[in-house]
Amino acid sequence: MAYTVLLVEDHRIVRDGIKAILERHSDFHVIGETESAVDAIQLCKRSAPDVVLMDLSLPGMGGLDATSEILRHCPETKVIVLSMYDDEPTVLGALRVGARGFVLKKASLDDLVDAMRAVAKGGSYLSPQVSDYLLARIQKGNLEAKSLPPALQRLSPREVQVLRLVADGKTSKEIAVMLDLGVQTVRSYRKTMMKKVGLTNVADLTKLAVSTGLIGSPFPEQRPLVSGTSS
Amino acid sequence: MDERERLSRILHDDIGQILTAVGVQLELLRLDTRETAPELAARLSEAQKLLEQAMERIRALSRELRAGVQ
Repeated sequence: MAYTVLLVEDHRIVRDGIKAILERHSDFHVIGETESAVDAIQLCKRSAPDVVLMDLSLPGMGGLDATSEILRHCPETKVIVLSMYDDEPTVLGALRVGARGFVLKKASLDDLVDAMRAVAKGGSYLSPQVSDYLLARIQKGNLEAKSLPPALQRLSPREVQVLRLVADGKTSKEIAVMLDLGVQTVRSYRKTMMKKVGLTNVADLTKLAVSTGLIGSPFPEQRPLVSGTSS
Repeated sequence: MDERERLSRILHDDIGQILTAVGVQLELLRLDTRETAPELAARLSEAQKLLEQAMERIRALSRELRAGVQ
């Protein structure tokens, strides 16, 4: 039986193309597609697809928070992240929220189907460029914190999620809608979270989120090991 | 919005996604012609390599611009 797939990608031309690729492989059945993270969560709640292919840079709620929410509601669903960037904060951010695969948007996309198969069967997958880079970092011993950075370790997963959204400029009301929570509950998470990290304003919170790699996408910090630059 | 951030956004959101879509189309061509016209494989592969070079430069330039913003 074919694996059911939900496509979450805000660029229609990319989404249509990926759908066409998957339609050429009989082991996948695309049951839904959307450009919105909020819609993706609703679709998952309704149909619990086997695999979600999730773009990271979505308008409004980003792909990281959508992944986290989807896995909270549908723990059996596997999420593969699609990203234009392969820098460390982006990759680790995706893995931290529970993505089982990370596929770099590159010229061939020939590993997309391999990634989908591996993850659908319960395995995991990183695009070769990503795994090579992480391996080099691990061997040099300078991979950033494997779990949450120290400054954020006292936070619960929900508080981290709220931190990311606040740092991204979202109001408590917007966050409440995105996470399907009451506004007062969000305010309470927000208050506790700010107290735990010892900050009082959004600007400092954003700095903390950027410096810890919590908001690395879609505009990540410069990667120290970049080999190629424009000339 | 800072000019560098604006440029970084254009590179990522506009050009990067269009190039990704071109890559997807090349992949579809590869899948659709691998049995009927296998002689196209090498040329398609060359086109994909050139496209990947362009995408890697976009990634690097976007990172560079963004690093200047932060």
